[in-house]
Amino acid sequence: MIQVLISGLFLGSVYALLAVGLSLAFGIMGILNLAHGSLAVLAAILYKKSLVFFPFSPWFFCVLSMPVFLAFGFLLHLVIVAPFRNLSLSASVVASLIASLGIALILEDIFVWWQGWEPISTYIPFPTFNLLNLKIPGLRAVLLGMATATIGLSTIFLKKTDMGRSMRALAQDKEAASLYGIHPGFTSMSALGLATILAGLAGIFYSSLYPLGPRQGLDLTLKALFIVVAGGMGNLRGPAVAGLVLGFIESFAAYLFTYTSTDTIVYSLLVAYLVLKRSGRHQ
Amino acid sequence: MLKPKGHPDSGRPFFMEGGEMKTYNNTVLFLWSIAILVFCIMTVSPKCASAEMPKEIRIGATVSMSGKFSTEVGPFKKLMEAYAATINRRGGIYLKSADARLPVKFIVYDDKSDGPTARKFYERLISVDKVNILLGPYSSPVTFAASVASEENNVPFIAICANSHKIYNRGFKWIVCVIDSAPRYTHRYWDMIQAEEWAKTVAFVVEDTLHPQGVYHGAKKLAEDAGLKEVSLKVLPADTHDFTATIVKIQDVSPDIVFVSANVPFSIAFMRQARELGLNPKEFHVIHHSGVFKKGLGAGAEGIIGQSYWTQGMNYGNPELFTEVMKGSGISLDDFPWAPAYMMAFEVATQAIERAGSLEREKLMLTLKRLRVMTIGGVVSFAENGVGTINTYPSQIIGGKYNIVWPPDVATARHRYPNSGN
Repeated sequence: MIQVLISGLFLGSVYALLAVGLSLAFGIMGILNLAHGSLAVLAAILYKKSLVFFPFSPWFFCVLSMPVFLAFGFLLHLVIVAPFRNLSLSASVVASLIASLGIALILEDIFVWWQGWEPISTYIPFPTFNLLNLKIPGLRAVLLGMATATIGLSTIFLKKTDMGRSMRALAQDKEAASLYGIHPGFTSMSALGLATILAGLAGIFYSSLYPLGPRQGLDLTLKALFIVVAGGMGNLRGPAVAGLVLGFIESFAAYLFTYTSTDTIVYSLLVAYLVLKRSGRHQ
Repeated sequence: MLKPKGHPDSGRPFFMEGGEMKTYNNTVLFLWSIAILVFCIMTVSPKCASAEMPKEIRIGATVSMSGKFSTEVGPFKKLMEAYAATINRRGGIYLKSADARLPVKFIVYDDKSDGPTARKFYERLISVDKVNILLGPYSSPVTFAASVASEENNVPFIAICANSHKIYNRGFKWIVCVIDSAPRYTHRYWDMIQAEEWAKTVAFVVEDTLHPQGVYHGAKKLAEDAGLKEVSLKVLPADTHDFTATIVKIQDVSPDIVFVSANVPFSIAFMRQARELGLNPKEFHVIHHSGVFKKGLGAGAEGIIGQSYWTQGMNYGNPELFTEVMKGSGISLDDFPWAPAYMMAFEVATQAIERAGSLEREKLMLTLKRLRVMTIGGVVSFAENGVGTINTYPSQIIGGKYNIVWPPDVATARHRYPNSGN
């Protein structure tokens, strides 16, 4: 049972990392980036392809790939945010949603064409440790630490740096932030860049632990969206906690019931949670 | 102008109105007609006959060059082309009806590992490409769909890696399969376990798709017959990514053998996590432990036992020809362990054509049904429902190489047990 709990913790940490990026983009720019999961798959493919040239460890590749994913974020901003900035809030949200869905679908086709249908797996052998009669897979433990550190550093970045404060100011009031000399275009571009880096890291971690299908991007986005909705949009702590909870639920559902029942259980709990939360607010 | 009697213009009554029946009264014209007919028979007919004379033997197939099965057979178009090139260098296949050796040509499409796509291409192979005989695609689900095209159009169809009994229980007349049915897929492994008398319990992990399910149902019965007790059964979807719950439950029952009936991606994911979480039975059996599996697991693949159709050192049939074809194709047997099964299908098709002496479909199918031929994997013949006789041998990864470990007369190494590799 404790082994299942530990496994849920590892899985949840990857989900949390993925969801934090989605939440960041939503909180600062108000856009729901449906290509978020596909960017994670892109990172996994790039990592796999790079392994042909050099046996990078996941952590080393994470550092190397950050500027690349920052650039991807900037590019994505030009397609799913910048063209719609003069529209009304609701119209720009819908336009960004559709544009990002289009990007996700295009990326999925490119992935299949580029690397075929076979699942992407970037597993590297790593020792397993014994701790109080429990098996702790070393790779998962390292990735858990990295995911936690990444979320922690992102939080510090948002709270302690000028750019982070600018992002938060933009999230609170775009016009007021502009009056204080914050450039909305560059700041939101940076925010999407940061969110894309987080998606990329999640993809690298995920493919190191589990096989990731080339068309699994939208599934990951859906899962991240579930976590963001459950944890609260526009903050980092809520999705991080909700991500861990999802990992636990999935692991325990597979242990107590069947693997096929996990999605049913997870989404039933989400609906129940949202209904209860909403009725609680009304009261 | 000649007018038959009874024509309205002749002023005589019509035949149907009871008048006399007269046709032509010009005997010269009649004789000319006979002469033209004789001329046609003597000149045109031989030309028609020569136009129907085949110039080549056309074999049609689809290969999963893309999609989920591309890891198993992706480059097999090259294998087919290498076989054709090798046979053609030797003069081709002798066809008695043509009294000549004819070159072989393979026409191959990418079925994208998808049944409906495969069926569409098999229909094209029959109607547009006019192939003489068909080789099946990879896997039971794709073959299940594709074989309908051959049955509807009455074209001989040699299935290869497709042994689900659901394919052969439909009463189809135009299909044979090189390999034995899925339930018997691992029978030699269980024969070995029974003979060695070491293992007592088995846990099954089964991917919920056609072939792994078929193999499991057979293995369950064979394991029982070998005196083993099934202590755990986990049937999981093909896209399962986290096996922790399954592994923890298997650890609780400590089986002697963990038997993984699954395709390669599923098997790799399961085995990685099993190694990570310290699942340590006396033996892992993974039905598909190809080179992709071995590379995916690295050192973790050591000691794992699986099934192989052929390894270096087996001496049935003409292994030199197979070696030549493999060399010509540039395909590695380690990476693509189903290549021998395809080679056996090529040998069966070649023998069937030579023995039928004709490309006439009915004759070819009848010959196939009665065929008994030695191939690199042993003797192939077919049951009434089309199921073949070729079966796999238990092979163990020892020192990074595949070794047949049973039966003793074929074995290239001794079975190592217990040998979990941990």
